[in-house]
Amino acid sequence: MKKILISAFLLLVLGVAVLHFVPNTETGITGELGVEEDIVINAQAPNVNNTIPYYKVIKEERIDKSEPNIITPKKLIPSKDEAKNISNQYLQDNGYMPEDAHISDIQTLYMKTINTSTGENIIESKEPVLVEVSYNRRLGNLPVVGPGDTITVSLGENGKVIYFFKSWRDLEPAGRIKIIDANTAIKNLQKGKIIRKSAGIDNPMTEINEMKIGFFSDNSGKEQAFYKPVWIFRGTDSHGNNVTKYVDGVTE
Amino acid sequence: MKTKIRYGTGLMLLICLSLSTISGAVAYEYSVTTIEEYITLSDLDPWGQKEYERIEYWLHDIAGWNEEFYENEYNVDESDFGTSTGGYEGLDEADFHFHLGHGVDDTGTELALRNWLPGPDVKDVRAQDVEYKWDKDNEWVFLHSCHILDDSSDWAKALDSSHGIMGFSTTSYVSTDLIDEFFEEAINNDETIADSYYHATKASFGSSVKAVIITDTGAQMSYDHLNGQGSMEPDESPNDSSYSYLSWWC
Repeated sequence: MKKILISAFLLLVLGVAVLHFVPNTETGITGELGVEEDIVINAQAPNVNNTIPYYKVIKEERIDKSEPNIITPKKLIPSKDEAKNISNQYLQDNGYMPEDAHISDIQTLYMKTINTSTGENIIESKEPVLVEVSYNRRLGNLPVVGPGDTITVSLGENGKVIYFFKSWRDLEPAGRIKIIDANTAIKNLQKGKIIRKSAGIDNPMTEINEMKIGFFSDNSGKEQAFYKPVWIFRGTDSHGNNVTKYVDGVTE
Repeated sequence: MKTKIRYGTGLMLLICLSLSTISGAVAYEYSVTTIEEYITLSDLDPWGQKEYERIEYWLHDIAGWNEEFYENEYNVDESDFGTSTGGYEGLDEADFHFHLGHGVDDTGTELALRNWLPGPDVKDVRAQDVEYKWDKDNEWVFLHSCHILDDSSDWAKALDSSHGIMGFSTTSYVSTDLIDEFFEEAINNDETIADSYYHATKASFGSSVKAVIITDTGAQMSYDHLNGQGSMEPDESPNDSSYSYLSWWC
């Protein structure tokens, strides 16, 4: 038994070591990532220049519309494919569709009645409530993350729009700005220099599966003069939770 | 369909808030617990104070409710969450309770008290601590904490005569916007609690946050309003082993 445990431990150490030294031939930026301590990097940094465009905020637009009793069971709501078409048409017809918006998610909400009397969670009923089409933004080829640039169209009975929320900022190019390299961003990530505090444990990120450059848009109503780059990290923390964290892409 | 179009930033929000209707003085009560400085976990300061001030503004200043208690930091203990059915019953002494603090999934989800340590029952509040306990005055609980409603079936057992819990099953983020958006809908627009929470979470977070509501009955999920802002469904009677669940990615 002891030998098996020792063997398993050695295999684990070897596995981690291999992951640390996975070579990356695509970009110079990522070549050194494997030697970072305390973090396993299973991702390639994007191939970007040292400087990228950034944007000045001109105006903020916010629209919300809602019918009463959004969260009630419905008899018939559209399929996801139908919802996509209805939602796109609604945005086009009302002049709400920005050029740089794209569908990021379509989800159907169900109200479930769950019985726990046997110790198991038995779903007694599952009634449709709405189907929701969400839109996010891309600037150039870079994603905008955060709550400030989002559109939600929620459809109820027979495809009727029962909720609409749009938060979007008008932007204009402000020039180019120097971004910190991936290694510096990872170090900042490890130091906890992240954008937004969570109301849970901020366990250290131990594995990075995806890293991107993008922009962060703050909540509607928050003063934000510019959209400057951020590093976006997706991976797992020390408890195995999937996490997404943002690091300022400009400040060293 | 009601339409609200807002251009601009904080100034516009302030104007909207100042035009809010001040409702009549009805003796509904709220309670608040916040923890922003932890011994072993990352601090949330100054968000405990900031979020408390928004609750106080909306429920006390705008809606005219009475504050049953506000406890923070070391003064927050298990009993404030209604772990007792006699004597001091904590959140079950008031109609609405709000909590800000870390939520942890530690072999079952738990609210972390200030000097929380890993392991069950070490300075925490777990679902088992409040099972069948909320049977007095409370109707709704708002847990602004990560992960707690990932164990919704356990926390639903707290709902004896209490109606529902709003919270999250994933990471969530500190935010006064969440509170302002929620009460703007629930108080100024007299929307249902579930509709208000749906809107508040959509307006406040990006897509990586999963919001959850659980209620004792389906009617409470669909039709409960904040006390004084519209109808409220009756308490479930007799209490059964079923509850209603709804979740969405923000």
